[in-house]
Amino acid sequence: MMRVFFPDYAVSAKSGLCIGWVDHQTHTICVLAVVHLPVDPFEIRRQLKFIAAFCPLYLQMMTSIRHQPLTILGPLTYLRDPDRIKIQQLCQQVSQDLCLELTRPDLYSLPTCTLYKDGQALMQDHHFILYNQRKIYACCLPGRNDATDTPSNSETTTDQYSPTACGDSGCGTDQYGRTVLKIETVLSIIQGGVRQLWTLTDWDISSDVKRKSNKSSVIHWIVSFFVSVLVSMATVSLLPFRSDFCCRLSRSSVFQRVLRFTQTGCQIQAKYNHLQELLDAHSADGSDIHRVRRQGAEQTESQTRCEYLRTRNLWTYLLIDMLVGVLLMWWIQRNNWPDAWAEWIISSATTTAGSLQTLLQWLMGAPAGLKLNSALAHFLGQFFLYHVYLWIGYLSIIQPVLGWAIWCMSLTGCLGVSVILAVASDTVSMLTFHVYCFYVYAARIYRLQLTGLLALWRLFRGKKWNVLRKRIDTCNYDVDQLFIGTLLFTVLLFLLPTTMLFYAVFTMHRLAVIFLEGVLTKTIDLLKWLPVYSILLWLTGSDVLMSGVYFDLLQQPGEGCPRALVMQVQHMSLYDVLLLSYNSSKKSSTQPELSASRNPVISLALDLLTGCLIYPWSLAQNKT
Amino acid sequence: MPRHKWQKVLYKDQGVPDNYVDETFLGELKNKVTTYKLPYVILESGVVTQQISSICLFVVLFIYMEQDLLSPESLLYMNAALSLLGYVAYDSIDRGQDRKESGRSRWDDVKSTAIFVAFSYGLSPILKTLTDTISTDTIYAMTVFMLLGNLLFHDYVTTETRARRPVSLNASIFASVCLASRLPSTLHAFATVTVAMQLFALWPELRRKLKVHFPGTQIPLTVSSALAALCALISVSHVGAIIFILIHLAITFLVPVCLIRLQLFKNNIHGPWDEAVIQH
Repeated sequence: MMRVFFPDYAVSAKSGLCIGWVDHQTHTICVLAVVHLPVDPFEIRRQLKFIAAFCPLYLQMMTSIRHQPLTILGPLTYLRDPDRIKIQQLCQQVSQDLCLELTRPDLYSLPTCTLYKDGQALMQDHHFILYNQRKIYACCLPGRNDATDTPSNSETTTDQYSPTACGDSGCGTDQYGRTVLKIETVLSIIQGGVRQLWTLTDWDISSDVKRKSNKSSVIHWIVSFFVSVLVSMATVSLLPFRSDFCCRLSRSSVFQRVLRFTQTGCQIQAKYNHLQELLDAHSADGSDIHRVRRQGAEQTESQTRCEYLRTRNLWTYLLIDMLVGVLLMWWIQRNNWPDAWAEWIISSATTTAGSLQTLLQWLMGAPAGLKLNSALAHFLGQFFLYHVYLWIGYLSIIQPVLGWAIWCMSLTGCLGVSVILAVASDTVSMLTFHVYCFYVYAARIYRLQLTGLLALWRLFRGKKWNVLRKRIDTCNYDVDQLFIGTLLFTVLLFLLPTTMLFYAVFTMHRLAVIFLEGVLTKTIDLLKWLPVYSILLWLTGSDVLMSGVYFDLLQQPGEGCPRALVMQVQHMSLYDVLLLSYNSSKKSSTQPELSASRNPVISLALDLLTGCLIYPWSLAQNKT
Repeated sequence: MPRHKWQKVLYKDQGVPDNYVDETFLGELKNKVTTYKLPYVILESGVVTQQISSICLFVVLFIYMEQDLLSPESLLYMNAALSLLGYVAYDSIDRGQDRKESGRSRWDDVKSTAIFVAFSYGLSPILKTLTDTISTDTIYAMTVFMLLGNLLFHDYVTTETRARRPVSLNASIFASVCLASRLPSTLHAFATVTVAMQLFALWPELRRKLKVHFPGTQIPLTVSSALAALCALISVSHVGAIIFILIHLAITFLVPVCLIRLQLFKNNIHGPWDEAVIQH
C-alpha cells in the first residue's frame, strides 16, 4: 500500500514535473512542488543533487531513518494538455526510475496515479493524501520529546476513517513487517523539503510556500517591532552589568546568597538572566545559536520551532511585565498612595500588636477550658509579651520613614510588575518579623520537648536508640537513670500541652503569612509562565500551534481511482498550548530539578507535627 | 526384621527407605513436661501478694498524708531509717558477694543516693505544680492505671540483679509524680516520690535477695507484709480491707487450686523433634 502525499494547490496547477521525496521502504511518496514547462530537467536534477551534497545532514536528521534526497518523481499532466507528450518525454529522458505518473481528466479534478518501480508499472494499491502545504509548513510540531504529552493526537482520525487504514497511512504500522513511518517524519520532510526548494529560484515552480511568506501575520510584525526596540534598550541597560567589577561580584558566593535570600534579589537576577539569554539568542540568528549551544545534540526542526516560541513568549513576558509595572508605578505615584499606605500599614501593625497582646493574655489564662500548666503558660506569655513590646517600639521608629520607603519601592516598577510584587512580598515578610520570631521560638521549644519525650519514652520501656545499628535495642538501665528519666518524662509530658498550644497558635500566624507571600510569589510565577505570545497565536487560530493531523475521506476507492484523503491540521487545545510552553520553559530554566519524591502536603504536615521550621522557599521547592 | 537395631542417624545406610519411621520413634514422646504441685504454687504466689501489699501500703501512706494524719517529716525520717536498715541487710545477706560481682563500690551507692535526693528534692516544686490544673479524678484514674501496670509488669521470676524490666518501676514513679501534686506542700511531694522509690525500687531488690539466699523467710515475709498492709487499710477503709483479704485469699488459694485442676487438661506434645530451648 503506497501513500502518496500531494499538495492540494497542485491539483489545479499547470502541467509539469513533480519534485519530491520517495522512500520505497516506508512506502511513502511525498510530492512537494511542480516545476512548469520552460524547464531543463537535467539542470534541476543537478541542482537537487547539489543541495543534497551541500547539506546532506539536513534531511537525514529530519527523517532520522536514512538519507533520501529530493528527486524528480514524474510528470503531472491532464488529458487534453497540448504539452502532455513533451513533458512525458522530458521525464523519460531525465531519469529511468520514475516512480509515478499523475494524470487528470481535466485541469481541476483529482489526478489518477500510476506507480512505477524500475521502469515497470506497479499494479499496487495506493492512498492519495492531499495536504495543505502552507499550513503544514507553518505548524510547530510537538517534538518527539514533547510528544510524550500528546502522542495520541497525531494519530487522531475522524470517525469516517477506519482504524486499520489510519495505521496504514498515518503513523505507520509494522503489522506487515514494514518500517514504521511516523507522521511527524512526513511533516518534517515536507517542511525541510520546502525550504530546500527555495534554492531553485531560476525555475517556474508552483510551490505554495514562498520564502518569508510565513512571517506575514500582524502579530508577528508587531512583536518583531517591539523586539527590535527592546533589544536596543536592553543592550544599553545591561552595559554597566558587563563590567569587570560586576562579573567578579556576581561570582562571589556571599553575593549569590544575599540575592537568593530576598524575593526581590531573585526576581532581579531572573530578569537579568532572561535579558542576557534573549540578547544572546538575538545577536546570533535564531536557529544557529541554538545549534551552537547544544553542540552535537540532534536539533530537530520541531525543537527549533519550540525554541522560537519560547523566545517569543519570553519577550512578550518581559514587555508586558514592564508595561504593567510602569503603569502601576505611575498610578501609585499619581494618587499619592505611598503616604496613605504607610498610615494604613502602621495602624494595622499596631492593631496586630494589640490583638497579639490580648491573645497572649488569653493564653496565659485557661484558653478554651484547656488545662494548661499555669506556671509555664505564664512564663511563655511574659516572654512573648516582651517581644510584642519590642515590636511596638520598632514600629514607632520606622513610622516616619515608611511613606518615603514605599515611594522608593514603587520606583522599582520600572523593572516590571514582578519586581514590585517581589518587593511587596519582602515587605510583608519584614513587617511580620515578630510573627516569625514567635514561631521560631515556639517551634524550637516544641521540637526540643518532642525529641526529649521520644527518647525518654524509649527509656520508659527499657529501650534505647542504637546509633551504630540504627535501631532500637534493649538496654539495662541503673535505678537512678530510670528514676531521673521517668521524672523528666513525666515533667515533659505534663508540660507538652502548654507548649503545643503556643506552638499551634503561632504556627497558624506563620502559615497565614506564608500563604500571603505564597500568593504573591505564585502570581509572579504565573506571569512568568503565562505564554502570552502562544495564547495570542491560539486566539488568532494560527497554524503554528498544531497538535497533530487528522484525515478526512474525500473519495471512496472505486474503479480506477484510489482512496483519496485530505490531511488536515489539528489545532492545539489551549491546555496543550500552555503545556507545551510550560515544558519548553521548564527545560531551559537553569533551576536544578528537584525530585518530589514525597507528597508535599504530607511532608508539610509532618514538618508541622514534628516542629521542623517551615520556610516559604522550602514550600515552593516542594510544590514544583 | 532388620538385622541390626535401627539407629536414628543419617550417615549410615541401614537398608530402609528415606521415609522410614521406626517403632521406637514415638517412645520418646512426652506430654506434661512440667507439672506443678499445690504447695509449691501457693508458696510462689507469695511474691504477688508481697507486691500487692507494697502498692496498698503506698496508697495508704498517700491517703494518710493527704488527710494530714502523717507529716512528711516523720515519714522521711522513717524512710531514712528503714533504708539504712535495708541497705545493711542487703549487704550482709550474702556477705558482699553480689557487690563484688557487680563491681559496685560504696561510693557509687552514695552517688546514686545523692543524685536521687538532689533531683527529687530539686524537682519537687515543679512536680507539685505540674498537674495542678488537671482534675483530681483524672489524676486518680491515671494513678490506678499506672499502679496496675506496675503490678502487671513487675518481674516476679528473675533472680538476677542486673536483668530487670524497667517498665514497672517507671510506671510506679509516674504514679507517684501524679499523686504528688494532690498534696499541699513541696515536702509532701518529695516524701511521696521517696516512698515510691523505696517501695518499688529498693524493697523488691531486698525481697529477691532474701528469696535466693534464705528461701525459708518467704512465708513469714509474705504474711507479715500482708498483715501490715491489712492493718494500714483497716485504718482507712473497711471495705477496702475486706476486698484486700478476699483478693489475697483468691491469689493464695483459689487461683493455685484452679491451676492445679486445669493441669488435668494440659496436653502438649514434646519430643526429640522439638526446637532446642536455651536453658538459663
